[in-house]
Amino acid sequence: MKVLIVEDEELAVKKLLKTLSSVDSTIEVAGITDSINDTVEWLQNNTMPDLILMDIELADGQSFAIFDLIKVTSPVIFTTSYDEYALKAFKVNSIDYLLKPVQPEDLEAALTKLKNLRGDGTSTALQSLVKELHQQLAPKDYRKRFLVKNGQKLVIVESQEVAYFYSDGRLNFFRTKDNKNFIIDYTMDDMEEMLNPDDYFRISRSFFISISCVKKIEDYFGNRLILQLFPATDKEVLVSREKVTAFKKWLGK
Amino acid sequence: MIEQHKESLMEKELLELMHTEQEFENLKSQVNPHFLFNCFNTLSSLISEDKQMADKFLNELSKVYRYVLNTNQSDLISFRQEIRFIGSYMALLHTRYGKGLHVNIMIDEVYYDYFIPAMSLQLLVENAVKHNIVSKKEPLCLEIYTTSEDTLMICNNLQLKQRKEISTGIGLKNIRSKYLLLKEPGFKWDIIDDKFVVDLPLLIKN
Repeated sequence: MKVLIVEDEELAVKKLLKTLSSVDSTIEVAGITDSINDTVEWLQNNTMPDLILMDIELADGQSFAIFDLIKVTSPVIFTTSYDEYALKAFKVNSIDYLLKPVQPEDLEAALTKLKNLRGDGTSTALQSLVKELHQQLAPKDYRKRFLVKNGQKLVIVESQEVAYFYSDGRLNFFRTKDNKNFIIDYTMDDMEEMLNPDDYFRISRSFFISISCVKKIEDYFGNRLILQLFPATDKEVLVSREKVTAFKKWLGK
Repeated sequence: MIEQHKESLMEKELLELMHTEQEFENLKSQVNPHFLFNCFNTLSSLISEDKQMADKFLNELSKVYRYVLNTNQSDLISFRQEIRFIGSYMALLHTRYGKGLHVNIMIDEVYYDYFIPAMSLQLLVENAVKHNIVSKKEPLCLEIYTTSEDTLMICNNLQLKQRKEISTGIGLKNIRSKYLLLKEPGFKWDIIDDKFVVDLPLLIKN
């Protein structure tokens, strides 16, 4: 198996080489690069390796930039010394990461995982992983306020004033904590992107609520929950079956 | 009279605010796990590669952390102490970056008993390494030297990373404010011929 090592600290490379050969003696190191530019150049001039071991923080920036510059079809295992975001992303996606200093048993497990993964669309998985990491590393800006119509007037409503969002027929609304109703142009899916998941939760297809508006929670048939919100709603509010576990977890955060 | 009194009150408040900010930043860098974890990695490699180096590295690492923990309260520190600390800090960076980092220090010993704001030199070195490419192919060259005008110059070639870490700018601003409050002019930074140059005045304590 041919491996490309992307790592900017010489000592870390030495250590990684040792660990690699102790885990799998058939591994052949095809190249070692230490920067974004070097790696892109290497990938342009060589056949894609069977695996890339890639550090996240490189001499000239973060290694994610490589994927914007060149199409990488090799599977990648990221290595990082300290990164919560990466950890999060890799939990969602099935490709592995290793914390430095790399432990032989972790590397071995990652290699096994990769061998199992091979042949089933690794590159698409990788693309979604890179996208995910990009999103997580960028500081997320949540919507602070909304501009909405109130009759002929335009009104600014602070996000924190919103008790919940709901859809009724083909229209979407939100209700403020002081019980005013407004129509919005965004879909429920848009809203989910725009608001901080610590404060808002999508309980069903048609309801997206803030934590502060929950007044009462009761069990409901079909393993669902029924909520009483403040301000009160016209229709009954149900937490759909598949959302119940996540909802409870969110409440207890 | 009253005006003067007002002014000095405001200054006092500003000084206190800055002090808090700096303490906060110090605290953050104290607990900043990134630097520490990177050092642990290096140490881990050294233990199998070169035990003697590992021992030396660990010694410098403890010196660095001891200094960081001890100096966050005092505002001014003797140049001798700060430069000694920078020696340890540089040793850590050198071990990690190898030939990617060139450092040239030329200090006139006359200035050893002068003073500078604590950690200011370290902050400037850290900034240089944080924002610029440090690699064997494109080494970062740092020059630290004293001039005859009671000034310490810190200068590096500018080769910014593609996606640099978010810069708060709080470091440079903080050093500037410290000098302002001490009513000592001369602190400045500039870009001259693709080089980032900082003038750090060396002070006599009264």
